[in-house]
Amino acid sequence: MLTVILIMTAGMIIGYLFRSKKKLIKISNKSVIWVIFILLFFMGLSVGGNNEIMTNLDTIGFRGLELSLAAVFGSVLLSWGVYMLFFKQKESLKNER
Amino acid sequence: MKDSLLIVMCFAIGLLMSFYQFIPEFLIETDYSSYVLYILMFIVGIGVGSDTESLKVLKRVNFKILLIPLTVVVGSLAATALFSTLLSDISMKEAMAVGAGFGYYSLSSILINEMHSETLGTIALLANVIREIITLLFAPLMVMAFGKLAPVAAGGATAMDTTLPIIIKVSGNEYGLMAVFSGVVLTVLVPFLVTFILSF
Repeated sequence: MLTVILIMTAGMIIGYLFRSKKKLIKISNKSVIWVIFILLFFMGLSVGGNNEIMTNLDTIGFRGLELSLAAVFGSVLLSWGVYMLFFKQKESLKNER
Repeated sequence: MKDSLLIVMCFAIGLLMSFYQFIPEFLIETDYSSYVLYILMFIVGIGVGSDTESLKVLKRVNFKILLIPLTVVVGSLAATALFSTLLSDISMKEAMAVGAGFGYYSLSSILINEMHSETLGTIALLANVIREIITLLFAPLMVMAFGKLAPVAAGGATAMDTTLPIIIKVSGNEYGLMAVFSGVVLTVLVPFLVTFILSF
């Protein structure tokens, strides 16, 4: 697990050092999506061969939907409080000027 | 949105190929995915480190703008943790790891798949794709009910790219910069938080 974080940090340092090499950075950024395609394809391969998942695909899909709704609802509700406390005020002040 | 569809299609093609046992021999013999994951983390790092535009945005930070990604982190993690107490098949840690994707479905699902299980990885993929879709569809309603920050919070990590146009449309231009800032911070946080949560 730590390996992943270390590799990403190394990438960030190298990216910062080579930030002026625009062409190289562009190639790197464009290749991200292709690597993601490959990885998701691999993930599909392992999931498709996993009978436990394939027979429970409906439950798994439903859990995904539930957790998504929970996360969105939690974020939005909290953002409402933060908005009322810190952001809306600023707007009304702007209007008063 | 086009990329999102392609990503889900790649997953679906792989899934069908392996379900109907139509896989090239060399892919069964060795599992290459952890090596490819390392490559991905490296080039994602390069992208983040070289992005001087985002760095400039980060420099303009004040206390208030920092509250936005913090809101998303606390809101997503608290809500998924709370919801997990209603479920018998998903632990609190697992639910929070899914919530910590903040809509960045590709990276979060890949990491969870590698570090935890294929089942939870699949749940994370679906949950975080759905998060992006919910934001795209319901951003106007969210603004009406919960204020202009709501779609930025709902979009999570996607607020910097895929959901940015709809956020600017419903919340206004002044929220565009905040959305990019929040999205950048959350995108960088995803791998750290997912790893951290799963380590318990």
